Amino acid sequence: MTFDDTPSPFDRIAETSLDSLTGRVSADPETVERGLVQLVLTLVELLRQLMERQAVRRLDAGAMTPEETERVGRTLMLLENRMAELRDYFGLTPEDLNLDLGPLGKLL
Amino acid sequence: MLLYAVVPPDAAAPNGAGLGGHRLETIRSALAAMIVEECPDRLDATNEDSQTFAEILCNVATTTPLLPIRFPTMLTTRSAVLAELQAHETAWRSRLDELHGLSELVIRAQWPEPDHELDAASRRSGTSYLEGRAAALRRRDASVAEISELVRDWAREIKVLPSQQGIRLACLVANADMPQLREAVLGWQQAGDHRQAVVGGPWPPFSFVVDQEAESA
Amino acid sequence: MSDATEKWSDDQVALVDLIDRVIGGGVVITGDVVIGIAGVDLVYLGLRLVLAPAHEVDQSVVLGRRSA
Repeated sequence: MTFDDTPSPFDRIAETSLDSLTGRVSADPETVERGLVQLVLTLVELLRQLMERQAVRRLDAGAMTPEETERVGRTLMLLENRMAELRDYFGLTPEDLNLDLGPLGKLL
Repeated sequence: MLLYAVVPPDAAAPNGAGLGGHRLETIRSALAAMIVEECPDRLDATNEDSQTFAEILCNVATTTPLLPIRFPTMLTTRSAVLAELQAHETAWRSRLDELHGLSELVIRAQWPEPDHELDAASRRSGTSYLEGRAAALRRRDASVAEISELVRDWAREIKVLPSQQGIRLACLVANADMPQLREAVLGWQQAGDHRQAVVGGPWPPFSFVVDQEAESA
Repeated sequence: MSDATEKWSDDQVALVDLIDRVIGGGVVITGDVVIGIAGVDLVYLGLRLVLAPAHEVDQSVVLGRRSA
């Protein structure tokens, strides 16, 4: 984590995963394969929850500076907003992203 | 062949048809057997199919203990099925014995949370957002611990399932203990304002096909 | 609390959990099984999930799955 303008690992993961994933999915919700979108968004949601858990652990342990806390919180808020937008766009509910991803799910 | 479940090697052949309308068959090995349906056509499995698959399993479970196979899983030949049986039958037989007389209940519990999408105060800054999320996660963890403790006498194993809101716990329970567990969960619901709890099941042990302790050892 | 969930009966809520368990739980046969989702073929290789065209995989049957 850095204090300067260099994006933190959280920022990079958030930007990269959402941008690249949305880039590869057809923009038209009529034609896109709903099942594939569901799978992709479930993976992104899993990442978001993992990062959120990690951030909260660090917060509770007092392991972040106020600047880091603010930056991480902002990134996670952005990520959550983006997830909600994508869900709405593809007509998925939060429950649709509950797929149990087996061993990956245990990381939560 | 669509795979349904692992059963004891001497399990009675199931009646009736499978999802594709074909007869259910049992392929037997020394220590375990597999219930399958020969489905030559490609299946487009929908949520309705998942539900039908579950209903078929629940029916079969009334006549024999079983380990459900994840849906949908298909193998091409009988020999492929036999090979899987021979590779895993010792572990599967052992787990079938451990699960004897036990079924799965899924507890889904929810409570009022501030609707944080609309909660402007928590979204005013990254810090307040993160603190809000930390508090929500603490409440979830506390509820998992509280309900796990509540059902401790009746749930032989508990598995936390993914959930967006509230919590979901899969519990492995003896049939005789189910009424007490349901009553305890109802008590939890009534003990707080606007709490909601639903207990699904009894179902075949989807969440408990592998011994979790052995797995993490 | 989610408005959508409040309007559902207990049976409907439980059904969602049942369907989730059918596709999320159960024994996973790994190694040489191809499972399709939405016309895309996914292959379980141990615990790794890779995207591969079915014809490149020396494999069994592809089962297509679409959300209802």
